[in-house]
Amino acid sequence: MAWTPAQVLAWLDEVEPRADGRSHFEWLELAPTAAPQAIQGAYHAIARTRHPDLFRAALPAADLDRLVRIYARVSGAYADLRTADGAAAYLRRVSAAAPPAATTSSPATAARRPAPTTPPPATAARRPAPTTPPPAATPPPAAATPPARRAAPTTPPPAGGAHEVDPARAMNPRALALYRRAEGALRTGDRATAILNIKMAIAADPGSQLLRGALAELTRA
Amino acid sequence: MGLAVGIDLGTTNSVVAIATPTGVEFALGPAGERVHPSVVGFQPDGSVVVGLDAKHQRVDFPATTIYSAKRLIGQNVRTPLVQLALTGLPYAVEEGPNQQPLIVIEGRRVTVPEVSGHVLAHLKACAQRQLGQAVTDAVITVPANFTDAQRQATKEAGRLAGLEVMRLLNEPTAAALAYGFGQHKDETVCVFDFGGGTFDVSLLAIKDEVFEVLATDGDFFLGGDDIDRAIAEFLAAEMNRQLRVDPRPDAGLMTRLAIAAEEIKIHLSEATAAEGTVDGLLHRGRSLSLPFRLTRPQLDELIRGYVDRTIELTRNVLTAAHLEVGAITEVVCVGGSTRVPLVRRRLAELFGREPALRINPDEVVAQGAAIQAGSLSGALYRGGGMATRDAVPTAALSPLAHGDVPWAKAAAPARPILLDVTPATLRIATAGGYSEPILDKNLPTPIERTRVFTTAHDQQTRVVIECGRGERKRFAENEPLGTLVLDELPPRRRGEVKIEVTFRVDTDGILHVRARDADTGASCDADLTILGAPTRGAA
Ligand SMILES: Nc1ncnc2c1ncn2[C@@H]1O[C@H](COP(=O)(O)OP(=O)(O)OP(=O)(O)O)[C@@H](O)[C@H]1O
Ligand SMILES: [Mg+2]
Repeated sequence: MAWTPAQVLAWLDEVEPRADGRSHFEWLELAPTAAPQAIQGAYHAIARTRHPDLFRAALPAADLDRLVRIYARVSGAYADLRTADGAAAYLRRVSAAAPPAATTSSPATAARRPAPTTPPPATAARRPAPTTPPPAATPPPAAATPPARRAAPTTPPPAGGAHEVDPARAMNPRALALYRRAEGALRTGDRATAILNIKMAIAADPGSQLLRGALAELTRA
Repeated sequence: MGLAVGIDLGTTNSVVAIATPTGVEFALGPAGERVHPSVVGFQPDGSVVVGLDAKHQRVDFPATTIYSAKRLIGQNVRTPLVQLALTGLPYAVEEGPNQQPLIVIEGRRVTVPEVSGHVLAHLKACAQRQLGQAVTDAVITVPANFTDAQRQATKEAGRLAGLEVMRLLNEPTAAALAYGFGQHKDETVCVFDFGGGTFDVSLLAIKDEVFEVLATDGDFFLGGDDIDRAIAEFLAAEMNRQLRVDPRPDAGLMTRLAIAAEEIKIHLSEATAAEGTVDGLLHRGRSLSLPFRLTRPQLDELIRGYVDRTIELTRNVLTAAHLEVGAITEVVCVGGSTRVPLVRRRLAELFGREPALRINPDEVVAQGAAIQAGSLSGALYRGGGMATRDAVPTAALSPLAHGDVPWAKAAAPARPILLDVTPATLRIATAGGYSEPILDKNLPTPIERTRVFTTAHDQQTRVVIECGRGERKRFAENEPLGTLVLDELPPRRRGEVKIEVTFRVDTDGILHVRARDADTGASCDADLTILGAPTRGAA
């Protein structure tokens, strides 16, 4: 069902100021863990509720124009993520741009990392359309929030405490799969592949301190 | 606001319709016709006739009866394809401002949007007469692969007809909407639209009320007109052989042969051979008759190249959408040229299934446009079935004509969502004659993308951003769209000034370009002045 004009305006107010910093997953209101099959459903869910055509009569021209521009960004994110190739290329791009982190670690010593928490995505993710099954491993972390009362973007997770941690709990499953690949590569001495996989893992779970530390350690020297 | 109608503005034929709670209603012409020929006849007294009447005068006044204007609309008159098309036309065309074609009618110059504007005004008048109310707004369909210039020129035509163009809707998307609206479908369909002047093929995922175009391709210079021309060439050769008269330099004779060619073609859609004579061929004061015989296999041979091209484009679109033929649940045939048996056969071979039969290829596009017009104006209801092939009320039965509109009593309005795509890659020229894509083909619209470029020379204070459309790496091999200039850049070493170029394609498929100096924020926002597009007050 279409949103009300007030809901749309509240959404625009919220996303416009940070429009340039949003990841593709945020635009689609998905967790970065979302399965590929969830992408189309997420785009359709936004289209069903906020497509500019729905507000042609209900919004003044200037607001409609804002909506078209923001919706155009959602389309841009969908365009990149809707195919497996496109999604992989996107992940490579963002991981290449990911800033190096300060903590040190490597996959091999990862068992002794500080405890990170899996961050919720910056925006409250709305569930994919009912026709689409939820992502296999992790359901979207947050339930639909009425847009008028949406929570502010969450702050990054606290830099970890001191106790040991299992990598499986330190990152989301998609990142974990990549992390395991990095471990495998390191065991065979293939450092470059390990680095690449860690970067991709960071893209899949930008909040994981463990991963950032691992990358810093691997890229040193 | 008055009523909002949907209009299929075709190369050969146009159709106008409106969504009512009991089904889509078509507006009939003066002779009760649902399909209005897109023909405009300019009379010596300055008046115009449109539709069937104009079509009837085509043989007698070939130089002042304009048909197939859609083939010229928004075209750059210098492009080779247009020049080729012009050689076969019985009316005169000149180059006007901004390289747009101007049609010369007894010394007067008429723009192509003006011609199409007359067609639209006629359709509007038919609708107003039938519905007894003012028609103010319209959704007008265009071929999916229409360029910016063609879209802008079509909008201009609507404006000239006194219509607020709510949306330019891609024809195959309109057809899919008519096919699936209100049917709760979960399907992947192929819409194959082979009309009088253009060919489009689109793949869509239909999920209940969401109609998502997955990929589209086409050729806006491929249609029934080309088949007619192939047959007319055959007849011209026969005339030369049998009667020792070469009709090619004579516009009147070629018009006569083209009309005969279309009749022969339509006959061969039912029969396996066509035999007869073309009469009334006026040459040096004599009226000649040309006997002919053409079999269906001969016709197939004449047009094989064209049909091959439609099949090739259909394969391309499947590849672009990463789909196998087996994933297609239905083939929707649109356009009169899909009645050609060779086309049907090749399609059935490709998909291993017969196309959907319950679709009327002449009406389905207007029907979709009407549904979208209703949706955009908030006056669309699921009503008593909006499915294709609904019973259609005649003028006397129209609920709208009686002011008896039960909309208020109906349930919540239906809002189908159409998700369309960019039909071609949009790019900018870069150093060395190359180009970089900003927006790829088949991306969901509306869409916005920004890329950052740098200056190519030291102390460069001005960049000229040339925009083009096409799939080629070398810029010159693409179709030029226009240029944008960003001035007064700070003089720096090359590569130090960063320029953000943003391309945005809106819901009508029209491109907006912005260039911005990333440091100073100085920006230059422009709708490109596109070559071939109409300029206000041109002629
Ligand atoms: N039975 C038939 N067999 C073959 N061709 C036909 C038949 N009926 C119509 N046509 C051809 O179909 C074409 C017109 O189709 P249609 O009305 O769908 O085109 P249009 O919508 O005007 O054009 P476009 O969509 O390309 O702008 C003409 O070339 C006409 O000769
Ligand atoms: Mg058509």
